[in-house]
Amino acid sequence: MLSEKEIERYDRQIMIFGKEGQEKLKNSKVAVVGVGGLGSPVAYYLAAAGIGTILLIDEQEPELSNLNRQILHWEEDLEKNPKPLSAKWKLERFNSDIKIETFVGRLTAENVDDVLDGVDVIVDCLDNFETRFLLDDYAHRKRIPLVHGAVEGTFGQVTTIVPGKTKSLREIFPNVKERKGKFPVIGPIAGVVGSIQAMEVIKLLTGLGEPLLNRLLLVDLAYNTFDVVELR
Amino acid sequence: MEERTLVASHRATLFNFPSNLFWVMWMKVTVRYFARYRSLVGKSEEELEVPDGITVRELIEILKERHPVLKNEVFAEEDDLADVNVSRNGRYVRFDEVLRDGDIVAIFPPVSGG
Repeated sequence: MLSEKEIERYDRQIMIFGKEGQEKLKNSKVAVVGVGGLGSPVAYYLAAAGIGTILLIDEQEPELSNLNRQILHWEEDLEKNPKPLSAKWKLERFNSDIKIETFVGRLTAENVDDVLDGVDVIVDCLDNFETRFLLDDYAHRKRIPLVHGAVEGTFGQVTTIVPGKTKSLREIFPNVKERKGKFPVIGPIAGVVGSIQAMEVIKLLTGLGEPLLNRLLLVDLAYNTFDVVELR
Repeated sequence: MEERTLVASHRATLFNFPSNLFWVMWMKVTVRYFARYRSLVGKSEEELEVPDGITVRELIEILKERHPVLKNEVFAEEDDLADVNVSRNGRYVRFDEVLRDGDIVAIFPPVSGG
């Protein structure tokens, strides 16, 4: 049941998907894997939307050069507070109705089952395909949705994986070559792609609209292009 | 005409055809470039006249000849298709897919940053 306060807090979105939709968000647990450029807006908007439990996963501490895009981390967190803890501190003050759980460490084949236990949706905010494929495999084993996002430069991509309904990440990107080292990226593209990922989560949980199933959205903010590629 | 010669001679390299063959049928395809490819090539799309019925893989060979910057900065020498995704008329395709006249082919790199 939603409290009076919650009904007021979420009034504007209850107008979209009803109290029933809001209760679904409240009773859900979403994992945000990677609390960086994408993870910041994703976690922020999911907290704003009233997702009952958000699990934040990352092994790093923020660095100065992260702050052009990783807006949940502040100067005072630099090289001190691991990203999940830095983000938890702000999100708990932003929305005291929700629960923020953290895992500081790297996801591995050994720990993934324990760490992601009980999660309803996984949001891929990672910076490497090796761990993405680990999430992909887990999502398929447990048959839970995975919202993929990635950015580079002014460009980004989003697609939503639903086991049994869509292609897997491995099928979509069979020969990914990892580019090691630092890559160019500007804050707003992480903001746009992360916002779209957060919306995908809300759609999956409430049944609103149509998620990007078997469709890959390609965004380039340098030219304001939004293209959808059919993956079937 | 110059363009045709270029592509025809490329075709010749691919299949050991004599490059002065007249009877090669031609088709037009529109190639759209995304992300890094767009900045490297310097335009969002172009229409090309290419031999009829070539595959995606053969089109990429033609693009590499046409835009050496793609060859040098995007496709490594070995395993040179590893880093490119292709859609044909808005649908994701594999490299052995055969192209038809009027097709719109988009090429985009998978990005991995977060």
